[in-house]
Amino acid sequence: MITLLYLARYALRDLWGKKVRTGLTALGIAIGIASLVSLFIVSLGLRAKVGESINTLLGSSIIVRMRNSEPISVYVVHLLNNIPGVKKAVPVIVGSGLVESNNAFILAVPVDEIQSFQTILNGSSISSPNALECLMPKESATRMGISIGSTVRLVTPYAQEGVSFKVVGLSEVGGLLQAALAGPASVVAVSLEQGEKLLNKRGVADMILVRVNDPSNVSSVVNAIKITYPNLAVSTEEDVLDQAQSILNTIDAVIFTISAISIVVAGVGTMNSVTMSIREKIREIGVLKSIGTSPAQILYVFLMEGLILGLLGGLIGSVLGIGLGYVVIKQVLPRMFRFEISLPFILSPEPFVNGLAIAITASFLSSLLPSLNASRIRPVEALRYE
Amino acid sequence: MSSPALECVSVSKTYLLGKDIEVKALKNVSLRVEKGDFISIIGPSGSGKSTLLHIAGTLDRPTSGRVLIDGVDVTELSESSLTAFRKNKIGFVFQFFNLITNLSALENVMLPMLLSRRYTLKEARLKALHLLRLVGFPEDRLRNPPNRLSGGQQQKVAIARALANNPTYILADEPTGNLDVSSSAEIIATLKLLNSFGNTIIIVTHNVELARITNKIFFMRDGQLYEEAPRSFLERMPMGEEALESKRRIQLDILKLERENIERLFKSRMISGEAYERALKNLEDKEARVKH
Repeated sequence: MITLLYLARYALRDLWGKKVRTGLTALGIAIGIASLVSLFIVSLGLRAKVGESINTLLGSSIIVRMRNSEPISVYVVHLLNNIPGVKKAVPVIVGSGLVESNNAFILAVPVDEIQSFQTILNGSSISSPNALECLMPKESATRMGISIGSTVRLVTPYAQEGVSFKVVGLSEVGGLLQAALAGPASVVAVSLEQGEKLLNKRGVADMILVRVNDPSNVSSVVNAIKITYPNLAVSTEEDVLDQAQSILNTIDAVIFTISAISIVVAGVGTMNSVTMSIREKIREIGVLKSIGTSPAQILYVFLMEGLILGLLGGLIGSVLGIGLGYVVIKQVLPRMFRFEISLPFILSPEPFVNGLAIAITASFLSSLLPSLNASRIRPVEALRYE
Repeated sequence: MSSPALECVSVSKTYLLGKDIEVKALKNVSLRVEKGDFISIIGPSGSGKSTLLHIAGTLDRPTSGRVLIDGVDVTELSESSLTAFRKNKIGFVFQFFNLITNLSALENVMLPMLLSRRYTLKEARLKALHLLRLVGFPEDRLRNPPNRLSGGQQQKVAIARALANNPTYILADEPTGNLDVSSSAEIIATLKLLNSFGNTIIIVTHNVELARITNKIFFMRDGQLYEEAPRSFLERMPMGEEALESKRRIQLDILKLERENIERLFKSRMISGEAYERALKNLEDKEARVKH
């Protein structure tokens, strides 16, 4: 035990003796780990946000569409309302168009349901089903110089000359929901009745949102719908979450593959550093062996050097990465996109521990080969080495 | 009579330099070194001195012949057994000192003891301090790394390090080859003193001055070893009676530390009763020799 501690101190002093090289190698590892950890944090935030958004929209609701993606007759809404356990079926119409010559995504829902789809920041909701009133995202309204009370012209393929709507409220920009549905286009909400006219979808809906009386009943309601209407595709919060998860997993895989490259680069840097250490010390390794240091102990010394580099780089990198993740979530992402995307910054030990573990594993693996070579150096040859 | 410290029997070493080019570095060399001997091997460069030294130090293996150290045939031992063997039986002193650059003077001497796992940190430190005093290393330089020591001081540390695990013999390769005259004289005096305290020493050198303090001189030429005809040796101890007396006291202190160490090892069952008896006997012999 004392011997191992003593040899570890030897490795530590060796590294301390060449601070510049040690520092640069550790920095190389730190950069790789920092990128990994910050991406990890962004990914955690993304997952939390997606979960939250889906939950806000759906909660214990069910989305019903036609299997062939065609519009569903509004008649189905009445049928669904009759299924036991269903609180309310809400028809939803969506489509694209232009608002004041800008791309717009039109969302049409019954007037009394608008507020469960859009959060109103300023002004009020649409007053009646027949009112020519709409809600616009605050950010796009500001950009277009539109305020509450202004009149905007909505143009769709079915209303080519356009229809004038009065802006009665400004909504919160829908975050991820917005991103998923409309991309950079503004979501303009109108009443279901006006949407039917604008998008020529009289008597049909693109999807139906089914609210359930008791959240624990979701699966039995889903089964009832599936049995009664086999043509309908039914998805619950869980299904949507699963889909979202699989998309996020793909994004993660891409992100981590890219940052794995930086870890490999850091590993090669560590390998180089340890190899150089050994090259410079061939004679000394010969001396150590001639005074009775075993091959395993030589291996230990240089593995220790690699591990210390990894630990150092991993610690610095994890701390940097957490800081970087914070900056990306709070400063970079909100500015990078036109619509606001506010991810939560989640500080958990997970990214830190993972970053450290990856750094240590990578440095261990990359110093293994040169260290093994060092342990095999024959003392006679090493002593002759100048 | 116990077995000789080192016995080389008909040792040959052939190097292959590329295809078909053979270099016979050692030709049928036999050498017997008794415990307590102080011998030197002199000869021109390329005569095979270093090869013999490496083989005697188990750093290299003979092509044919056998090598016995303290009665144990080491010719066929595995690399890891040889490492263990070197650690406990052989002390090396090199021309270029070869101290470990990251360790202080004191730590360099402690290292072999810690590698042997027979000493606690405290025991190793105390013994290292005594050994450094024995070889006349200045006490205010104990914490200095090798690059802040003079050549003579570095060689003293190397000698103390070689003594650390009570080796069967010390192998010194040109120990004064890289030193100025006065440092050489100190190292020569130190080696002579250590031999008078019962340490077996084998020196390889081409410094005839150094060879003259040894009891036996071997001459090496073309891979063959000849024993030199006896001639005038420098028998006189090159230091005053008072200095010698203080060195004796240090050596006796070291033997006392050793006795405490083996008693602790025996009590904690880290060595067998037999090994304990042998070590005790060994210590008594040494004590008698120092006191004589």
